[in-house]
Amino acid sequence: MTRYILRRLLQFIPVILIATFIIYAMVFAIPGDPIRALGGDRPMSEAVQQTLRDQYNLDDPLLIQYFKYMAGVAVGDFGTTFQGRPVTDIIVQRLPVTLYLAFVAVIIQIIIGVIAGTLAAIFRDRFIDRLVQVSSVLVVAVPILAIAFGLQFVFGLQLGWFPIAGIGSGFYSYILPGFVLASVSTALVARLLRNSLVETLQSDYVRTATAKGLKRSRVVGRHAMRNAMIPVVTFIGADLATMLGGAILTEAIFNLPGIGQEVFRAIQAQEGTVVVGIVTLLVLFFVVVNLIVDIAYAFLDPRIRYE
Amino acid sequence: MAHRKLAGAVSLTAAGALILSSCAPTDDNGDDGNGEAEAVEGGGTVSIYNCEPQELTPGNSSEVCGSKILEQLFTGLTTVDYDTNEPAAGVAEEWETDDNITWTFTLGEDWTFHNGDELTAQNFVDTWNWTVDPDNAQGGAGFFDKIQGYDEVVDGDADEMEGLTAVDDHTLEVELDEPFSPFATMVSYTAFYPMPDEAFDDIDAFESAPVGNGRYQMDGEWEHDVAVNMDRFEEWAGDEPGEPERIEWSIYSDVDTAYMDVQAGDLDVLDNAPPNRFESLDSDFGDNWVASETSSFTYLGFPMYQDEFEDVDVRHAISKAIDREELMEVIFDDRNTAAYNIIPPTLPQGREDACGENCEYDPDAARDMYEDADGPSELTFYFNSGAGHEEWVEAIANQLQENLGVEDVNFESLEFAQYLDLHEEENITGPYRLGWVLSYPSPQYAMEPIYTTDADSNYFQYSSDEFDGLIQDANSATEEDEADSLYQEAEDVLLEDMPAVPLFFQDFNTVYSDRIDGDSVTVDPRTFLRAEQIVVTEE
Repeated sequence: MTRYILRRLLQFIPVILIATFIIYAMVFAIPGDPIRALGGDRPMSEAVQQTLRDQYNLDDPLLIQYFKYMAGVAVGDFGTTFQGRPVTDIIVQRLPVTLYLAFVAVIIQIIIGVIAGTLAAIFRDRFIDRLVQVSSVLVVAVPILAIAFGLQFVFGLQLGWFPIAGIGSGFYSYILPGFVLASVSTALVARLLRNSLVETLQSDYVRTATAKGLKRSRVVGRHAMRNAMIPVVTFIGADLATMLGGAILTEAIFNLPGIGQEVFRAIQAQEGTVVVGIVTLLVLFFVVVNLIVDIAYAFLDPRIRYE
Repeated sequence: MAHRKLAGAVSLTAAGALILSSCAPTDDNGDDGNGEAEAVEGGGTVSIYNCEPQELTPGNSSEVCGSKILEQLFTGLTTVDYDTNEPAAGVAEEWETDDNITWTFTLGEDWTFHNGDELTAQNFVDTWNWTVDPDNAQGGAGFFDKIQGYDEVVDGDADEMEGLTAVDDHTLEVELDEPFSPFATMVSYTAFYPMPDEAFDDIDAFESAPVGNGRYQMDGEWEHDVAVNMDRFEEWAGDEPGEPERIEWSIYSDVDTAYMDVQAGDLDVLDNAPPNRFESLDSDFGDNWVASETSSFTYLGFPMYQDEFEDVDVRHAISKAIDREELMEVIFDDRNTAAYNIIPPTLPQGREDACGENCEYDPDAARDMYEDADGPSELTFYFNSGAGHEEWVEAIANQLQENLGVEDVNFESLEFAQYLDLHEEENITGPYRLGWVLSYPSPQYAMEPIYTTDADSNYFQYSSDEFDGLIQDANSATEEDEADSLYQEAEDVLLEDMPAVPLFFQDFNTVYSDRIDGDSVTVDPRTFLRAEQIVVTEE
């Protein structure tokens, strides 16, 4: 097992290198002069623009720019925004917000999704099953924007139970955005688990367990669930990683100062260093989560062994 | 209609209302008409919407989010009296010039920075030189180009501008390259604020908690994307201290969210409600909103380097084929003001209908004119994307299609950086949108940086000796009336030559919570909420 993990960790290095280069090249390829756009309708003087271009190596060819950037990274300097703010500062400030949000969303996903999926499978074709199916179709079909504004309007403005925006109220601030971010995935988890559990419940080893006279709760909980959860765990793992980068909309609507918003802003402003810094972090996160998911399989399904 | 519509130029300041109580608007609350009775003791705390500033160094501030904050943290050499849009005393108590070239400012003696340092003329000299030094890459450096020695510093041949002298602690002398009559107004702008010595030792530290000389001082550091908090600076040496004891700027990434927060009472003031809410302002806020006209100007420019737009009749015809009033009504729910001028009517020099016939909606005359001048049958409209311009540009295109018989219209919307590149490379082939906001309230600034030959923002490639001459004469005029009428003549030339079709001025629709006295809420012509005047009526 240790050898397996080590091998996987070593594989991270080329993945990260390739990812940073591709991202850097993509930002480089965006047309338009980012420095000229800094001044808005009122252009900055040519001298000032030139100083800034020199400062951020913008006149260099792609490869030179990239090597200068990586040379900085090697000594722990991840560069700055065009306003001179270090990228590491931004990450340190914003990452916790996004992690917190993703964490809340995943908890919601697991609790609601798993309960709904399990109930639907156990009471297959009965009322609860139908209810879960219909409501999950509904959640997936309604645009996330509508869900967000709806929750803000009802629970924030009308009832006043939760803050509409910001992170000023700690955990409470994350509940509404957490639900929005989790909504579609929760529906998918419920359906995924339902189908997977229905299938598992019909398999031989579950019938054997039932025939041995085990209690229903033990058959489902201990025997069927472990197997049925494998696709669900894969899904949640992948989803967690997407949430970190893909929470742009939720973060913007609820005014959460997270990573997603910053990536969006930095891409628009063509700030290569910021985009690369953050996206590389996300890539790293993605591969780590994947590794954890793979390891989790071994615990869920004793047939899976890593050497 | 319950709301008030204030033109910036005639708005009453809260402090002004106290002094001129005979002219103060009558109060609905039934007290004795003295606004002071309503304010909570000490002034209270007001929370105000803001966007995330790009920077908080005066010389670098090129956008509104940062400027709003700097306005409260600093007091300039001069300030602007927004009742008259004339320069008023700031750090300088008085100033004089005989020729508009040599300017002598006499500074007040009691001014200090928030850190206790005395503020002297040398601080201005040091700050201005530092700002212009290209190594410091300050976005506002261009504002200093009228001062003697600017070019040498920019080219790296000198460290200090020759034209700046601190004669003694309280006398600042400025020598300009050529006469510039609006100089005293110009130095009220953000880029000219003084910085204390400690700023130059560590500008990054300074930026996270600027030490200024203004009505308010920082409480803690700038919390990126979250808030900037400031408390009233009780030792401030000016005449009208801030009303609120504390201002909390809440930073939002989405204006819609801020709008809802004001509705819920979690935020006190949002200075510019988003256009998609214009229709529901009355139902959402009742009396709790106020409209202010501003100088924020939107125009449709012509790439005059393209043959199709060389003929002035083509440009006039397009202007006459646009029904500005309909545009305002249909697209903006009448919450913006149609423009028939280039000098904003919020300035005393602005004239309501300077454009006359050339902007008068007359589709038949326009069509004849367009056909006679052989105007292009295909038009491509250019604008920057993601800034809410799609709808009105399309509406104008429809009007032109209908009124001029233009057969084919196309739209090119690009990210701002690409958009400016196209201009720079002269690859624009049709009418384009651009905007302009006055950094300081002078008709000079409404025209010179955009329309003079080779000006930085002259993307039309417009060049008129007559116009350039008039601007130069107005800048040299020693009498104010003379300068004003020369600026107006220059405006007439522009509206006749029409490198740009004036479209509209943006109104700022400010919404506020029940804790705020609505009479104290104003946005000045430069689009800045006068936060220091806000009266908080509930704890």
